[in-house]
Amino acid sequence: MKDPNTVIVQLEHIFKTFRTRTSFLTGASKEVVALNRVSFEIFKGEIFGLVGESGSGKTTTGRLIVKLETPDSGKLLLDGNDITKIKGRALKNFRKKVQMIFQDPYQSLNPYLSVYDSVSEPLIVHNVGNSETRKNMVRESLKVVGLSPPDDFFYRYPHQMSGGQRQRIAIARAMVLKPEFVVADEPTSMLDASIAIHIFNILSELRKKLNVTFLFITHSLAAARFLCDRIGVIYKGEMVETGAAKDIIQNPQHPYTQALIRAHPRFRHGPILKKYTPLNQRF
Amino acid sequence: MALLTVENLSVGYHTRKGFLKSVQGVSFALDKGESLGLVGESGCGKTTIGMSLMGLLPENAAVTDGRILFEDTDLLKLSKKEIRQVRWKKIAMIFQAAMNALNPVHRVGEQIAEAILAHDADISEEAALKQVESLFEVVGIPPERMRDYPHQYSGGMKQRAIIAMALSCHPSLIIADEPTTALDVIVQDQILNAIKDFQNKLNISLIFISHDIAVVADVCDSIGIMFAGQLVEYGNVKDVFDVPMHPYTRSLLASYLTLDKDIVQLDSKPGETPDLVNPTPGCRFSERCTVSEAACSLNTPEWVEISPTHKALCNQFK
Repeated sequence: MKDPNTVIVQLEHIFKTFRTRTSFLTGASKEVVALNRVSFEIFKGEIFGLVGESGSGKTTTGRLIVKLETPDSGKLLLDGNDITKIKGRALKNFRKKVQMIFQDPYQSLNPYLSVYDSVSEPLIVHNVGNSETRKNMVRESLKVVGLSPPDDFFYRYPHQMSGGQRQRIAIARAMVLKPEFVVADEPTSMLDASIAIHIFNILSELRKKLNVTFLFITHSLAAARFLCDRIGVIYKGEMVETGAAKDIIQNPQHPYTQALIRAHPRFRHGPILKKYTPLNQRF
Repeated sequence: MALLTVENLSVGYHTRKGFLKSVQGVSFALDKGESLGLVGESGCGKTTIGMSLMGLLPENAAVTDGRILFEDTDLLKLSKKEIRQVRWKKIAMIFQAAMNALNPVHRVGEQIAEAILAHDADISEEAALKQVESLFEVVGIPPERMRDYPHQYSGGMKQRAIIAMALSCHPSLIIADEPTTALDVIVQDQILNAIKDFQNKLNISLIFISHDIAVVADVCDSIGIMFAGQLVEYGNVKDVFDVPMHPYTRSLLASYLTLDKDIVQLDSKPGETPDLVNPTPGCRFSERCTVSEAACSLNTPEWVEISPTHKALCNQFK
């Protein structure tokens, strides 16, 4: 489980800028600082929540860690090894260990691939197993995300499935290589509340069963509080606060975190935590 | 006399798979100055209701049953020309994607003045711009920003401008369709306050459509919970939140994440949205319900009055 002594991912003074499109009249372009010397670490086996509003740099952080982006300066370490500038074979090996779940399951799955093809694709790319053993690995992966019996889903296509099912497929695809570390970028923002909880439960189960470490990116402090061990709050490209999830909520230090908590929707009426008596006992 | 009475409204869409019954037998009433929240998952029919009220249903939609009485006129019986007299002047709408609702090549203030000029032939351009200025005050945009273009506005300011546009012809009813869904929490909070504010000040009736049950609890006097095209629970906000009756309402509340929640009671099973082309005669939630019995999927559920201001559509009460 969670091991507070082993750092799995470490970011040291990561600096990243994006250049905006040049103006065709003046030739001028602007530099936007997406991440300003961001440093934090993620411990083995934990779920680390990265919370921030749109444009805060949370997705850029996630993309940097899976090496879909390269920082301008700063260092990125996985298991203590500097991976900031790896390429070729080392990069391919890295991709086997680190996976990503994207925000929108309507866009992240190839509509022309069946579930089996989508989930087995990473195995083929990384040359894992043969056609027989792959079938079992896909089965396993579908089972852990709660799609059973798995064989019933093999030949379905994305358009035949609901948003929740599609996101499960995307998770199964990320998990099939048994990665050490997974970045989940707002995996439930396109889904309804009740479905989102099921997805959270799956992520939580995966962490327990397979000892995967997660970076969970979200704009919802409540979701981070529910799922994560520790939370980092990012604002305008700077990490303003990190700490245990409960501490961040109960005792926020930074004014931005405090404002986030104040603005969170609340129920004016009655506590909704109470357990309701079943209907048939009520009358 | 209620300002708006919707009686037994049923709306469907012609699709390749057949006639999709998007809204079925929905009834509710709204008094002047009152606010009603419609809550439900995506695809439950809440936006279809909003579009029916505005007379803005797409070509492939058809109203199969029911009446929409607004100030004693049935909106469904009006011609296209007649409904244009009602739309925006009497019933206005705040759309979901504020960023796309403004014309990028016109100044924001002028766009809103244009709406005023289009609906009031007697007003001068100057007077219209004067009105926009006071509307900007109501929604909290500095008047000097009137001459700016949409791209110079932040997301929250665009949404405020859209609210100003909805208020521009002094409607008696505003339909707000997920007005804060694309916004960050802090901006959402500001917009919700702006909506509550104008509603109090101007005594306008409001239908607030959202998938976020806490937001509706914050803004509205009464609430309708929708599932698969039907209203399943309806009543005063306080009654519904104090004693939620329908199993679906309970599952919504149970799965709502708050900042102090450790454990979530999963009061529903994962399931697919029911087939709305050939809906079951029984309860549409029965498949995902944790307290349903075999009879639930066969017998048509009936409304049960829990109090004069609270009712639920569930056969488990009998």
